Amino acid sequence: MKKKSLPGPPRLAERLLKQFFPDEGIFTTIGDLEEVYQSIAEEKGSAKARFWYRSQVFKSIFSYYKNQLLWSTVMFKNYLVFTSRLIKRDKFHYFLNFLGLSTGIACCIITMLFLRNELTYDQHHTNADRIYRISSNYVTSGKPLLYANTSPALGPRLKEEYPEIEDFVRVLPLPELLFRQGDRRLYQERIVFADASILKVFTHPLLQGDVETCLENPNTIVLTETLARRYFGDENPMGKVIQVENQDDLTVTGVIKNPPRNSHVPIKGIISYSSWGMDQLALNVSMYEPSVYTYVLLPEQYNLATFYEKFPPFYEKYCKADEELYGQVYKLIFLNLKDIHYNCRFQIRNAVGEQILYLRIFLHRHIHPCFGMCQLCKYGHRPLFHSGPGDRDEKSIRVEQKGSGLPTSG
Amino acid sequence: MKLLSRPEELFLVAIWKLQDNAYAVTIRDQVNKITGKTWSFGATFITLERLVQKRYLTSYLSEPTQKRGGRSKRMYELTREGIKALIDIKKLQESIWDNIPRLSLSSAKK
Repeated sequence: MKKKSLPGPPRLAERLLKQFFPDEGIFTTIGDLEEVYQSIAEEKGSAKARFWYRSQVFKSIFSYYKNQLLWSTVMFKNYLVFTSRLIKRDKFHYFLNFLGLSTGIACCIITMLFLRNELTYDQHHTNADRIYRISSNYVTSGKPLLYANTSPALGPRLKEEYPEIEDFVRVLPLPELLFRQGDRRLYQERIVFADASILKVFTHPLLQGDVETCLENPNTIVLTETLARRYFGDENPMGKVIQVENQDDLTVTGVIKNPPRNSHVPIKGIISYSSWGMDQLALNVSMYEPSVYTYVLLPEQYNLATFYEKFPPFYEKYCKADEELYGQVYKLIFLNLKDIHYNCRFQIRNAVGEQILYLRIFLHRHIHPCFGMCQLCKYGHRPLFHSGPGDRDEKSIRVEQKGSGLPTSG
Repeated sequence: MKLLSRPEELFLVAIWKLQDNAYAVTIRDQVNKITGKTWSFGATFITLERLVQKRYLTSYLSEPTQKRGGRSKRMYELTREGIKALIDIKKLQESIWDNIPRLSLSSAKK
């Protein structure tokens, strides 16, 4: 009479139990347990039966996980033994394998480092999308003659004629300069003349100094952290004087964070543009005399086509007069900062850092064989960890029998 | 001749005795009854599995039954090797116990 009203075994315990058994879907073991549960329930009442059922499951939890651990470590040790025996048997083949694998991995790592360097080139500038370098194209008898730099007059003139251009930067790289500070005399490379706007257009966070004023006056210089430390040690460099080429005294008005190496303008020091001495004169230089690199900051989503539409009047005003003298037609090329290093499809004279044309060749020549090398080592791939004795497939049983001396049952 | 261990022997005999009704629950009951101890389910399953691995037993699934929540039973059956092992162990037992002096506690010296 009680048989019908008997409650089933505890749900949670049953669900847990189902996880332990690999023959899920059949659950014969669970069936066995349930049968015993019912017979206990009939004899001693369902409370006792439930207690018994739960304790069974509870006991098995520990041994289940212990077994799993045991199995994974046992298999691991077994694989080591197995592999060392295989190596002993076939030394040459394994020598080739290891050689291939190590070469492959080494090449992959080198490639990865290289690619990371290349793909983050110039990406640290927050405005990178909107910064364009203007290159010059002097069309000589129908053929393009490309220069990466432009006339120093271009920047101010563009800004004047096209109000939509937010800002421009003229950068003039300098040869090695002799810096003198106290007793220290060192040649310093990667110093540029640049407009004050370089600190606003590009991302060069100032650690000391004021963005608005630090490059305003002539004979001022902004140093990178490293350079400041080199000349002034732990002292505060602000307001100190560095003598350049034994003649000009430059006052330090700011310190910027070291820019990453993978920038196509790897500056170490910025001298204010007005220190150039020719800066006023340069405002009237012909458009056909390229010397400085001009960068412009365009508004977001700016369509360059609209610029080219408005270009003819500019050309009439500034270039037409010299066209005959030089025998060239002047054209502007806008190149996004991100594309300068990575995506520049044409060769440019006086260009800084456009070595990347060969990247694709590199990829084809080197990366492909790397993966080929890795393929050499297909041998000996086996699952390292078993989740439990129930999961053994035929292959691992075969290995296990070879290994011998292992516990065959959990 | 491979010798069976005692638990293995107990289980094989139990299965032989149960014939067509040998599955984990009945086997365990049988062994409990013979030894007078309660065998845990774990011990039962491990011994059975070991015997299957040694090829003394085979197992098959029965039709699902109502009593067990619609689950089928895993039935066990002796193989030829299993039967041979049992015969061997029986012979061994008999030859061990053959022709020995009368055995009783009173014959202990200490």
